[in-house]
Amino acid sequence: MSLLNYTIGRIESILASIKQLEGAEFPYQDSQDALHTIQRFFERQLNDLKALDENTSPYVVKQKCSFSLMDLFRCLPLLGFILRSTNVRNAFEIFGPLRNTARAVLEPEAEVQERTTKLLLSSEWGYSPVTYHEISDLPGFVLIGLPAPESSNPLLIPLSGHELGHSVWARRRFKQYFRPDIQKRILAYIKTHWKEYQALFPSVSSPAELDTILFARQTWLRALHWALKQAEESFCDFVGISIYGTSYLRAFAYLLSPNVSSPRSANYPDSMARVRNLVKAANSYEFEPTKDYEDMFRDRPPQQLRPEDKFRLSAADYALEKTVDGLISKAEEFVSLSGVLKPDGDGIKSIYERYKLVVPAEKCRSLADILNAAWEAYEDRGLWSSMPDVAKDKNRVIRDLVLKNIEMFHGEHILRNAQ
Amino acid sequence: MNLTADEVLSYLKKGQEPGAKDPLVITPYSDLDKLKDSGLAAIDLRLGTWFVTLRAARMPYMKIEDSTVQSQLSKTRYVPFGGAYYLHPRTFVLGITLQWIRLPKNLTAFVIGKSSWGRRGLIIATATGVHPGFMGCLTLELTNVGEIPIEIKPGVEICQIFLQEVHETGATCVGSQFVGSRKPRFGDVGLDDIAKKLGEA
Repeated sequence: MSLLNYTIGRIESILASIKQLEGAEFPYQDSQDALHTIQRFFERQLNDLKALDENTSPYVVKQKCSFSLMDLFRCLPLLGFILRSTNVRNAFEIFGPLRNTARAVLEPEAEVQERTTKLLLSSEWGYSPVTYHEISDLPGFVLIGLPAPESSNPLLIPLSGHELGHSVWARRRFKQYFRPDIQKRILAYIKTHWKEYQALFPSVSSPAELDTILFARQTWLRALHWALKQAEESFCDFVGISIYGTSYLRAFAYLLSPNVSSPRSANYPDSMARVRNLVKAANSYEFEPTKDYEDMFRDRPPQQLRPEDKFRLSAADYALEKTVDGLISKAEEFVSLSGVLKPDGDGIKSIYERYKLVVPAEKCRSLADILNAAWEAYEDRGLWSSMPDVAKDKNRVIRDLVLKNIEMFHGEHILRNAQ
Repeated sequence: MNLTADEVLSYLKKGQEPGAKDPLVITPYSDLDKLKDSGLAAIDLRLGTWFVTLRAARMPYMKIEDSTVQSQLSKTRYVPFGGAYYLHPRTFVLGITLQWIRLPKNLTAFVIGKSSWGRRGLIIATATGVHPGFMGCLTLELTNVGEIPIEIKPGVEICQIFLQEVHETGATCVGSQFVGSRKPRFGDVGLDDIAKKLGEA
């Protein structure tokens, strides 16, 4: 038995699997590039492991094997994600326009031809579109995966705006930007609830100690962590709304309303607060939220928390509430900077008029206009009532019509750039 | 009688006007100027991005009434713009037009391959007839009857559509199995009552 041999065997197995995956039909080079990046990573690792010998300290061997195991745990789901990016259930037509949007949002300063962001468009066998954020194993890649049964549904594409938000948040270091304000608000909350705080943390004797003594800081750092996570999730929602307008709200509701009945996560805002913030952002950006939007949702049950954590979560919720306006402004400021065209009422209307005739629209202004028109069509109960053969298959026809429209939009973009 | 280039142009332009009720639409990338200059009676259609083949190894033969062909016995492939599909000799694949077509109630159409492809061995063996009221992309049956593999790319002009006027029937559109689709479809063949009874004899 040899720990090193076991580890080398595991790496050789994953490299053999990657070799097999190379035979998959990749419609886009980006997925292959991701696969090769991971392949090179494990090849280097295999070489490193093979360079160890009997003279190497057992401690070093154990440490290297342990790191290698962690890499396997982390990368195997990624390989699954890459493989699923080849599945023809995916809406491949969206790839080009979505990558252009991602490049504009993530590399606003670069010339269009010099933008390099790559996209992995895939699906997940989990009912959440939020899976991977930009990760260190695949630098420069954005990963977007819709739940497998919905991966051909263009109506949910606006949710990709949320994923782009995570990449923006990380690349632009917005965590560091918002941290001082959020920390200030956590401390303000503690000071205004001093009696309650002191009953829970009697060892801290005065508000002055909160930010000066190490053990006092420990009492609220978790609240800060939660508030920052909530701020990130909220920011990502606002990026989605800023890019895709009302269609983001509709896609969010389609996938997540009224809510799952498991307790809320402290890393996300309270459900109804999140929905109110979506509406607030939409109003702020002058997009009209759909009628009775909030009524579609309900709160998730509270987490069973220790009294100390309950207090911390209240402080985090308070800090978020006070930071939301800043997050809304920052998201819009950033998306405006990227030059991504926002939804336009006239543009949406003219596309929707074509959809009424069951034809895609030419010369659309933006992807956002197409997706908002798609939602108008989907929500129109009387659509195609004079064409019963079409109406009875409405959902499929809308998907095909919209994806064809997106393909046309991308083709027009290619032709424009070629001139 | 086939519509002339001017008549087709007139229909297409009316179809682009806001408020058009039952328009003729052939979109995208229809070069109306080219059509006008050519004076031809047909519009070229381009090859789309989706292909469907049969998984021959999974079936002993194809049963007529088997409705699982599309879902279980076929393999779908996507070829993006810039990519290519290689059609080998004596192989058969379903393709699709890049253009989305909408015929008004008073127009019918037929589709044929372009002779320049035919001379290279590529036969567009489409059923040719397109009924009034059709809307969607047209499934194309592509076969290479030549001796060498043929590279086909999304966006190439692959076939042509001729249009003819018919008396309006009042029908809204043809059966939904082909309507509003962007991917090639086999469609159901099925046996009607007469065929079933004859078959039971």
